[in-house]
Amino acid sequence: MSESGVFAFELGDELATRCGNTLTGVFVPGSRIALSAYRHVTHSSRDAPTETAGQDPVLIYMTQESTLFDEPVLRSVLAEANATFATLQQLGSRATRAEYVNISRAYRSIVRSCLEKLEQAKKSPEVQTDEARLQRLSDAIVVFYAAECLWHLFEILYIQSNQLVVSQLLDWARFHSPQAEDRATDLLLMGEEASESDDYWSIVRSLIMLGEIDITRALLSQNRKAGQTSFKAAEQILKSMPVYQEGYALQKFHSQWEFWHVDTERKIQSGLFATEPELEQLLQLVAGDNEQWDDGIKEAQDFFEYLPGYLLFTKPTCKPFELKIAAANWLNRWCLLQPEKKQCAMNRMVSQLMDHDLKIFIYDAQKLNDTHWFSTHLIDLIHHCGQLKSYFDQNNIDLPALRHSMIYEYGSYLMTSHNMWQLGIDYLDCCKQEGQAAIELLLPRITLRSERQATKLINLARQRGLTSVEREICKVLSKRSYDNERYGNALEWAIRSKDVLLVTAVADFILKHYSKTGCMLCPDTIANVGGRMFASPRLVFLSKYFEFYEFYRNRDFLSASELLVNLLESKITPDYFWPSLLIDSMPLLESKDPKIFAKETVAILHHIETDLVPIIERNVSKYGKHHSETVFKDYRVENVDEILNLLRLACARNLARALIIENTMPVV
Amino acid sequence: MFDVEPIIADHKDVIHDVVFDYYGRRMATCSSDQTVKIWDEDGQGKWNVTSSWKAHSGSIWRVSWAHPEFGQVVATCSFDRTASVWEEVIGDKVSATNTPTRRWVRRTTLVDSRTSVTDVEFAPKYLGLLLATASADGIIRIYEAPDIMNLSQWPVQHEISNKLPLSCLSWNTSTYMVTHLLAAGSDEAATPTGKVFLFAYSENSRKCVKIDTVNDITDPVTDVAFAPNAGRTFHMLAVASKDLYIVNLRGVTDATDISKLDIQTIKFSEHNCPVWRVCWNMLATMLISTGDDGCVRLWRMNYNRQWRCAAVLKAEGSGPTYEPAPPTPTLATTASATAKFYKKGTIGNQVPWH
Repeated sequence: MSESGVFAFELGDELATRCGNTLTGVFVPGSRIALSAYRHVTHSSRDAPTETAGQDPVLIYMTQESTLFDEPVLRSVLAEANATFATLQQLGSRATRAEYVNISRAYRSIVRSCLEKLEQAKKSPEVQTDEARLQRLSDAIVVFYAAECLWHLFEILYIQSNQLVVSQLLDWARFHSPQAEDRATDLLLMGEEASESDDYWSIVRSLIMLGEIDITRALLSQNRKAGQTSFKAAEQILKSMPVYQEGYALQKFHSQWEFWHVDTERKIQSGLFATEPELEQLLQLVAGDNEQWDDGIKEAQDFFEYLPGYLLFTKPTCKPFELKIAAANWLNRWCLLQPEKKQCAMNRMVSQLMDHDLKIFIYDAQKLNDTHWFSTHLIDLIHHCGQLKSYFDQNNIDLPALRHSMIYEYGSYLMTSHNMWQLGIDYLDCCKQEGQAAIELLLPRITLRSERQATKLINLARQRGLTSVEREICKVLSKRSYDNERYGNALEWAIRSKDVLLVTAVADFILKHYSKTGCMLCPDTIANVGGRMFASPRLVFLSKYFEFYEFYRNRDFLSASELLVNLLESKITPDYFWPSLLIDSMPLLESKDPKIFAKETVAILHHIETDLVPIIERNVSKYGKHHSETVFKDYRVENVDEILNLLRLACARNLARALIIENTMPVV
Repeated sequence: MFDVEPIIADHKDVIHDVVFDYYGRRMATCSSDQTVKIWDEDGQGKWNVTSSWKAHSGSIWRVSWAHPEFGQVVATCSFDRTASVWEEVIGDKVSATNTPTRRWVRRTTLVDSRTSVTDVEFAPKYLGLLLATASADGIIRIYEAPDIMNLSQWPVQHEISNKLPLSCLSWNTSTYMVTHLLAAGSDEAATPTGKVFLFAYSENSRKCVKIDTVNDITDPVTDVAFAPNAGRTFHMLAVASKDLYIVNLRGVTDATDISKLDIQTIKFSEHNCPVWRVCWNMLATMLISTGDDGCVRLWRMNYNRQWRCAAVLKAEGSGPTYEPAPPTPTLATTASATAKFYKKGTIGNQVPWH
């Protein structure tokens, strides 16, 4: 961190630090940055090798903001949160508080189950041997642990909106300081012998400071000395401690509690427990003795660990606004008593929450190493449950804009990170036109690994009415297939793209290839084009020509002739294909029993003169006679102009035959 | 915190341009050593050179990838006064079982410029397969490949002369308001006039013409970049000059019903030194600027739509330093209903968004 909170990162590239050189960076599609050494040159500088050429290695650095989500265990967090997020969007802003609390709990339970999975994963043998992965898992535990802890506190203070917070805070503190409770379980199992255990009293103290009265009583009753008066009196005090229940009259509770409190203090002062110093100290904690609690603070790992317990014994009906003062005082005490402890980020954020300092809390929440999982979902929840609206208004924070922006960034982050795009798209769907526009930009840029994936992308685009994306994907696949010499696929995708130019280009290629080699590419695909042939006039021609080709191959010469004549008349024949088409007519014209009528034969002759001849002339004027590089080729003849006379003769002969047959009666 | 993966570029001299394909899975680099290298990312995220060839007889300034619907095509421009178009083709199969080899072939060399070709960029795909070049003699040339299956023909479609030498150009990818919108910058230092020019297709004269000059920027300009448009109703142009600029272009229609561009220039002086290069991310929510101070600055638009510098990446330093690992928990873990996790360690060193 440097200059007013701007994040600084040092790369340390030798070449880039040499004089005259500097560092440059470009965004890599996805969420990476490529860095490399840069040296500025202009058109007027002399073009010569750099004086440092060859001295330092030239490196490119693929840089990416660290993310935990490469870890497979954590993927489920993203997926499950995505589902909860969707549920919340459906609830909208009019649901009951209980429903929002449920959503909040759902998010937390995702984190908790993920933490458990992480712990398990950490113990697995393959992770134990993989140093890097172990580190990653540990980092993830740290981050998600904090996320859960903060979310839980946030839920207690701002979503549940309880009148009194102590009992919830106790649950919260206990969950996050489970050590004492664990040890207590061990001790309880040991029975009477537990009291000989070295840490017996320190555990009992911790339990009291966490407000675990029942467990403390159980442990005390197991003590060897449990029968003594002092223990019995202690049991009596703890048992009779009034606990506030929902619906109780506050006033009445106060007087009961006050009475119990004074009574406890009196008993301690009377020296009832003087024989048992540990027990006395314990009860002094219960009575809220400041000296004892100061000692307790010194044992705490985090400042907030024993705060709820302290409140239980000093201010059991603490309200949220009172918590603010209590927490500030407690933090001061903690800082005084543990000056050597640095305030860690999490402690700071806990106190921000208690202090109702949400503006800074939200800022700090974004620094959590969770690629904004926590901040995005929490802000979305805050926005929906609407309880903090006045706070944000007062602090000049445009909450809807902030939420929108967070979701947009989070969604686009997921969409640009490989394998997570399917989750990201749901978030962007919540961002109105901007999200739609982002999807339109990002969806076609997802690497097309397989045709199945492409189909999936196309469906998503179609659901959103993004026809341009659909067409773009089809065009890319078509060109890719074409480059890989899979022409049937190329044609198929081209037709799906509905792009006339592309369909024409692919059809052209197939036709030219045929006239050059006599080999029809991808007959199966062409046979299945059917009604889709109208994507391009060239494709219509190709399909029809293919039909002719099939008739001819199956020796159905009559149908073939009819189709050929139709094709010649159709006016969709590409220039380059005229020679092939007319050459095709030759065997039909030369057939012993005529297949083509006189009228059609005249038409063919007409096409030879009006279509083929001008093309040949143009060709000759462009490339010169007998030039090998003609615009068109046919596999059957060497030089296209040579066939002219052959064609004319064939026509003449057929005409003669046809005329005779058509105009004479058949001889029976 | 950033994860860094160094790749040995194996160029003999400094790299001038690193450009990624549409998906970010292929990379083209060019250098003063007159070679172009094509890199592919494998399934494990490792980058490997798959082609490397001497492309020009001078330093190569810039590379540009065509949209994948036109195949695997790159264009290069060089000090040797030419620009070239290269296409990847399948080589001859070595055997039936082997995957065919791929190689890059030169499709054309564009030799129209009489001075160094300083920038080259393929147009957005809606215009077809178009290529614009900027050269030191101040001419912008727009070439078009009429047949996308045969890239050997690249007739010049438009030629626009400017008085000042040009150092960079950028196509606007959005079709909002105007088509064929193109910006170019000049690094000429002597005259105190505007250094960023805007060009667009004029229906009246049926050619591309200069439509405006950004007069606020009079210092030499070394890079311009139009932002991708994700639903904005205005265009953003980043300009690298003595400072970093973001120019907002809004289409307005005046009283006489002629639509023109309203130009608003915002200056960012954080670099405190000349800025050489600019680059947008895919959604134009972030911007990278390269300064002469050895720093790459990362800019981010906050939720109030203000641009803020979010991170600085420095050339110097001893390389990435990592936070010490958090202590392993020593707590005795025993049977208990509650889950237990240790919680010490850093939780926050991520770049905040807002």
